[in-house]
Amino acid sequence: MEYHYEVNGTRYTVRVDQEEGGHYRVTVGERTYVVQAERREPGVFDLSVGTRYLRAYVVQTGTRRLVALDANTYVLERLREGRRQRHLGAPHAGQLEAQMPGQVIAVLVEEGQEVDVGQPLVILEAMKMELRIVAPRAGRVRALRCQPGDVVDRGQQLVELE
Amino acid sequence: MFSKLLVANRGEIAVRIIRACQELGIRTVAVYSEADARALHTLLADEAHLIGPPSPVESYLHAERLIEVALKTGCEAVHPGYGFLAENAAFAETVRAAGLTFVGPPAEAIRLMGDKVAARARMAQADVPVVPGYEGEGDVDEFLAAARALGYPVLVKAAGGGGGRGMRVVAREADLPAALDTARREARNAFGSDRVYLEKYVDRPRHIEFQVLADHHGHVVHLFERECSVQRRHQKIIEESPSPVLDEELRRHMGAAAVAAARAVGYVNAGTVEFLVDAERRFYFLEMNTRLQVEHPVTELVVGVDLVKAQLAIAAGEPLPFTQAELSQRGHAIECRIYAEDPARGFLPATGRVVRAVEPVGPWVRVDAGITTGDTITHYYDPMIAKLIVWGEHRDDALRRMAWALDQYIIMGVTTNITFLRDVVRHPAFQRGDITTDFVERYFVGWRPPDTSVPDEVLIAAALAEQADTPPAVRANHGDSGERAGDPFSPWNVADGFRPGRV
Repeated sequence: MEYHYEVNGTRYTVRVDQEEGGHYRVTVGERTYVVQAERREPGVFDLSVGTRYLRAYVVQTGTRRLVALDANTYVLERLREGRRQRHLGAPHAGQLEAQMPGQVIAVLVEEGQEVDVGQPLVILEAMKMELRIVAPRAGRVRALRCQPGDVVDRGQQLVELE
Repeated sequence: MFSKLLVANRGEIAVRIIRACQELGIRTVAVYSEADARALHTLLADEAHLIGPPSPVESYLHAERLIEVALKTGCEAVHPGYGFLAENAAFAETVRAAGLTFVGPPAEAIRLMGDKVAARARMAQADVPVVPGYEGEGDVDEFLAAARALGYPVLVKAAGGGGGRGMRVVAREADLPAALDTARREARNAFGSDRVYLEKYVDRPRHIEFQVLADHHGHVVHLFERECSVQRRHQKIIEESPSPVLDEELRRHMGAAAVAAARAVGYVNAGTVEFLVDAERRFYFLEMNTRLQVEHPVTELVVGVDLVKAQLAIAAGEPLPFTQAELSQRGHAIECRIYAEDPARGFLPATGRVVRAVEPVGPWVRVDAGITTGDTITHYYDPMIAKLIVWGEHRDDALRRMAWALDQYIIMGVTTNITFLRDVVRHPAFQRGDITTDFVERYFVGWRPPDTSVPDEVLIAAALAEQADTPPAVRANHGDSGERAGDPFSPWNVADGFRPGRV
């Protein structure tokens, strides 16, 4: 079987062949390894790669793979059959997003209002911390996408500037 | 001693208190909000009662409901933990009026120390040094005039605040009105009072606090210091004891001042007197926390006293079992707070489900966790996952142990500060003990996680995990009876091949 992953913009292809005796021949790019493995419990794998004995933790959610090895956690994106997955473009420059998940405690502007650079637009609160969403430049508020009391996720759009 | 106690808190501190009660044979009642169903503290307690929706105001801050549960379940005492209602004088009074024991200080002491302005005045009377400041209740112009007299930068602080909340550093006069505004609003939301005051900003101070214990028989002792200078957003992330900067003489003076501060307000139970220490090693009273501190474990490890059990014994009317002369510091302890937050993005809180937590285990390594595998971190509460505490024979030993322990700690599913902490404890300035409250801004601005390339082993593990979940129709016909461990298609359960020989 061949698997394709993307990590930080780099693509990797991993080929796994099961061999006699229960071990695997695994090829990563140009490098080939003989690997023995045992699943201790769901998501916990003990591997021997050459003389290295390792315990890896793997979590699969959707196309995302989290792998913890030597106490570092890596985030891999599983790709379908070598085709590059489409990335969402950068958010439109006029859109202002929640920088953290939390609750909107105040909306300080109205639609159509002219704002100055640095002017506070929305106040978010999460875990006892208050965060002001300020205008990155002068402009007019095209649309408000939140109201006081809303619980918002990180990255959720709050205000649209013209 | 009590036979049954209600823990009016959540997370790691609820767990800590329940464990102490279990050792003492005290039955425990946990309370939880809808966001905390099946949280660790509810599983450990003898009983768990739902008290309301996730919002703290409707649950952990809902005094009447907590007392109702305590009475209904036959509790004799209430332990408030830290945060929430721990420093709420009215709550302490209501608990006592209901005929229950409040595991904490008298309401008067909480009220006085909770009013930072009144506390400063009382400390000055007791000859405990305080930072120069302005406590007036005037309008913006008077604050501007006072700030000019003190000299910038100044601190705007909430009279009802503490722990760095409702606090703003103001460097320029132009910024003062806006800072007063924000501080007032935060103070009103967080503490129910929008009164603020000014303090001269002490440049590059150290934050050093003394643990005190006082019983109902007039005995007051201190359990030495905790150095808490490594902070972000005015909140501590690393604490240690002893402080690398105190010598015996300064330690004796500050300890005596801490005891004097506690006596000046008729303090009983466990409390913490916080001081700022400036570059000339002058110290100033900052505030007194009238409760158990998050960082209490470093004192426990160095002094050898279980502070939660001490709190319970004091609340039950027992005299302190030791005198000041019998207390001493042995070795060195360090605590790192493990937070769900992103140090590369201004330490913004992170939320999500901890899909796996693997805590370090080893000699003199302690993990006080409130969040474990499968738990969800919501935006409703503090994003602390756990406290990692180690003890060593001396500071270098403790530092090495902490670096090791951080290197073992795995949290998957949410962004944490673990990688950041690994870099902090290895930083030369931290290793030297050269730590002031601006440590993080000074050395870690623009910090990014080290750019680790992906080891092949990680890709191998990911691919083999896919293989484990591939149905047999797709894989080459590999015999597997499919009856083991509830995963009918897994080649991992085959009882041949690799056995690492590890236990």
